[in-house]
Amino acid sequence: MLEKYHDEILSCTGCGFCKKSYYAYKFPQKESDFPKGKIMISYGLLTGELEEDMEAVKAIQKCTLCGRCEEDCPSLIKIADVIKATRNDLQLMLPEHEKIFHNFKEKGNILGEENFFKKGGSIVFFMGCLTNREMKDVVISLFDKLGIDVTIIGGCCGYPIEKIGRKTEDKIKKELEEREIEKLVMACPNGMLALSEFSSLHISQFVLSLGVDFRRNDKNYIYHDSAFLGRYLGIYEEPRQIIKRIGNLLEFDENGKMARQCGGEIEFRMAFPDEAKEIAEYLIKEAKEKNATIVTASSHCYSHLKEYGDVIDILQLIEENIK
Amino acid sequence: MEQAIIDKLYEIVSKDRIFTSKADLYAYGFDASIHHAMPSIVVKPKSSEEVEEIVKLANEYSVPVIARGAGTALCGQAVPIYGGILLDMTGMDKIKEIRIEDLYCVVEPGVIYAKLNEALAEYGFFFPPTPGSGDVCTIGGMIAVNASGMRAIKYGATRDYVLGLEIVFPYGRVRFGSKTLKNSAGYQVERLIVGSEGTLGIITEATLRISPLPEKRAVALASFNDVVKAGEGVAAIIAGGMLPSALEIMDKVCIEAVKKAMSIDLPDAEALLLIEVDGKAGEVKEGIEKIAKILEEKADKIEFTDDEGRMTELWKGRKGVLPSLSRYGEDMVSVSLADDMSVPISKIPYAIKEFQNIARKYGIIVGTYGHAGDGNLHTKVLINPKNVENWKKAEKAVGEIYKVVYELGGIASGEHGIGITKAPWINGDIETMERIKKAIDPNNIMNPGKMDQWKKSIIAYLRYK
Repeated sequence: MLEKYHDEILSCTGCGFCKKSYYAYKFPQKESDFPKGKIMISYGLLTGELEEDMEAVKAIQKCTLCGRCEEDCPSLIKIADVIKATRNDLQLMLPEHEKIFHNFKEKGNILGEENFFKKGGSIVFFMGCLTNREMKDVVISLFDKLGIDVTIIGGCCGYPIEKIGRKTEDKIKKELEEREIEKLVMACPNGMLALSEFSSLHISQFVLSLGVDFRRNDKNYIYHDSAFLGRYLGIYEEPRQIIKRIGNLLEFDENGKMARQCGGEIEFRMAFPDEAKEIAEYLIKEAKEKNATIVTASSHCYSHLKEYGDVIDILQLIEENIK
Repeated sequence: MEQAIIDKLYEIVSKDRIFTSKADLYAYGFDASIHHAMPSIVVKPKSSEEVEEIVKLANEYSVPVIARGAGTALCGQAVPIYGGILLDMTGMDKIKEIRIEDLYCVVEPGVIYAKLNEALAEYGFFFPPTPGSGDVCTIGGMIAVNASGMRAIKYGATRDYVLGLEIVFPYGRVRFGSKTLKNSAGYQVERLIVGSEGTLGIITEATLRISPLPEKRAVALASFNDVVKAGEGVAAIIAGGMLPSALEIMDKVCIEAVKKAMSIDLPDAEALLLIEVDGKAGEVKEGIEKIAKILEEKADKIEFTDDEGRMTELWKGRKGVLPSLSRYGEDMVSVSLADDMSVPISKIPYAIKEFQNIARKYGIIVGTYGHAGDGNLHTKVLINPKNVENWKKAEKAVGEIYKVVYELGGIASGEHGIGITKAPWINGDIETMERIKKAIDPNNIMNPGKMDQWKKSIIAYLRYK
C-alpha cells in the first residue's frame, strides 16, 4: 500500500512549511510530532531503513489526518494519504486502538455501547457510534418535530478503524443495500466518508432541503469546520446557512479550508488525550475571546469540545430552534 | 555512543527532552537537503547552561555535536553525518527583551522568525532579513547560515543585524558584541560565527538590531519575452539609483511550476520580475512610477498592485517556487543542488542562459529564480532521484554551473550556506579556515565534516534510497 506513495514521499522537499500550523501548540516537542517527521518515518519504513516498533507506530498514529498541514504544503504532498497508507502496512497497534478495534468487532460500536435501531419509512438516518452516545434523543426528537417517520440504523461505519489502518467488515453497507432508501442522512462526516457510495446528506443539508423555518435569537455562534466535513467532503456552507438563520454567525480566524482541527476524532483523542486537549483549548480560547458558542457539525467534534467549553452541535441547534 | 556519555546527558537534561528511539533518530536525520544521517542521540536543551554542559561533555569524549533549528537547511548543515549528539535548539524559544528605543531585541536561538516579527510588529518594528522559510525557520539557523532573502537588496542579510552573540565553544560559554549599534571594541567574533554553520560553536543567545516597519508597500510584476531583457531591466533599475525592497526574478520553468502547483495567477512569460517598493506612501508611489518608466520599453506587460491580498498571493507564489518545482514533471522531483549562487547583478541574464545550456547538455531540468536585485540566484535541479545515473549527471552539471558562476565573478552561496552540498566550491582560503577551526575546536567536535572539511563527492549520505 505504502509503495504506491513512494514517488509522493520523494516529492517532499523537506522544506518544513507543514510545521507552520503546529507552532500554535506546545505538544509538538520533537521532529516526529510534525508532518515532515511522519513523512520521513514513512519513508524509512518503506525503504526498510527503519523497522516498525511502538515508537514508530506512535509517531505515525499521532495525527488526526485532518489535512490542515496540506494547506501549507507548497509541494502539494498528500500528507494524510501517505500517513494513512503507512498505517495500513503497520503490524503493531497502540493499546487504545486495540480497544476500539475489539469493540468494533465485538459490538459493532467502537465505544462498546449498544447501538440504537428504529423502524420507520424510507428516510434513513445512520446514527454511528458518537452520534448514538451524544445525540440519540436529539435525533429522535428532531425527526418527530419534522414529522418524519425516520428509520434509524445504528452501528459503526468503520471509518475510525480505517483511519488507524485496519480493515473493516461491510456489515453496515450490506444492511443499507438491503433497504429501500429515499434519502440517507447522517450527522457524522466519518460515516459519510465510509459509506460514500450511498450519497448521503449531512443533517444540515437535509434540513435545509426541507425549507423549514427557525426561531431567531441574538446569540453569537462560531462555526467549527470539521476537517472531514469540510476539507474531505467539501461541505462548508450549509451549517453556516442554518446558523445565520438562527443567530449571529462568527468565524474562527482560520476557517473553511484553513480551519484548524479540534482533536476530537475518537481514535486520536483516545490514544493522545493531552494533545487532543491542547488542540481543543486553542479553539475554545478563540471562541471565548469572541464571546461565542461553538457550533460543531460532527459528533466527534462535539463530544470532545464540550469537555472544555461552550459548545452546541448543529443537531441540537436545529432541534431546539426549529419552528 | 558510550553509555557513560548517555548517562551523563541524563544528568544534565530531563529525560523528556532526550530522544533515543530509532524512529526519532531517523526523523531527526533530515533537513531540507539531499542528505540524511542519523544522530546517536537527540537532546533538547532549555538553557545556555545546559548547552554549555553538553558541549563540555562532548569535548571531553570527542563526540560530535550538531545544532539544529527547524531543519530547513538546504545543504546538509543539520545532518549529523558522523552521528553524535544532535541538539534540537527549538526548546530555547524565548524572546528575552525588546528594546524599541535602543533598536534591538534579545532572543534565544529557537525563536521562529515569523513569531519574532509578530512580536515586533506590535511596536511597528521588524527584523528585516526575509528568508523564504520565514514562517518556520529559527533565528539560530538563520544566524548559522547568514540567511537573508528577498529584501536583502535594501535591508541586508542576517549578519548586518547581529549586534551580539552568546556562544558555547568547546572550551566554554563566551559573549561577543554588544547592545550598541556601533562596535569598534575588538575582534568581532560574533560576525565570524554568522555563517559558521555550527562548526565553531553553538549560538545560545542573540542580540539583533531591528528596523521600523515601512508605512506602505507596493508591488510591480513585469513580464518579459526574453530573460536577457529581464536582466537588463534589473540592471537598469539599479543603475537608475533605485533601491527597491525586493527585486525578484523567475524563469519560465519556475513560472510554470508555480502556476501548476499553486494555482496562482501569473502571466505566461519567459521571465518575470517581481519588484517591491516600500517606505512612506509618497515615496512608494514615486518609486513605482520610476520603475514603470525604466521598464516601459523592455517589459511586455507590467502590473502594479498595493492590494494586500494580491501582494500576498504574488509573494506566496515567489516563496513557493522552491517546493513547487517538485511538482513540475512526472517522475521528477526538485533536489537541492547548486541552489543559491551569487553573481554580479549585471551578469544575471548570462548566468541564467548558461545554466539552461548546461541543463540541456546533461538532459536535466534546471529552474532558475531568485533575488535578482542583489545578484543572488537560486537554481533547482529536477531529476528522478531513484536513478543513480541521474545523480551522476546532476553532479557534473552542478560542477559546470559553479564554474560559470566563478568565471562571472560570483560565489557558490549567497544565503543558504555550504554544508556538504556546496563544499567543493567554498569561497576563501581553506588554510585560514582550518587554522581558525583548530584554534577554537581542536577535537573537531563541532558539526564535523562540513564546509571546508568535506573533501569527497557531494552525492553522499543521500536521503533518496
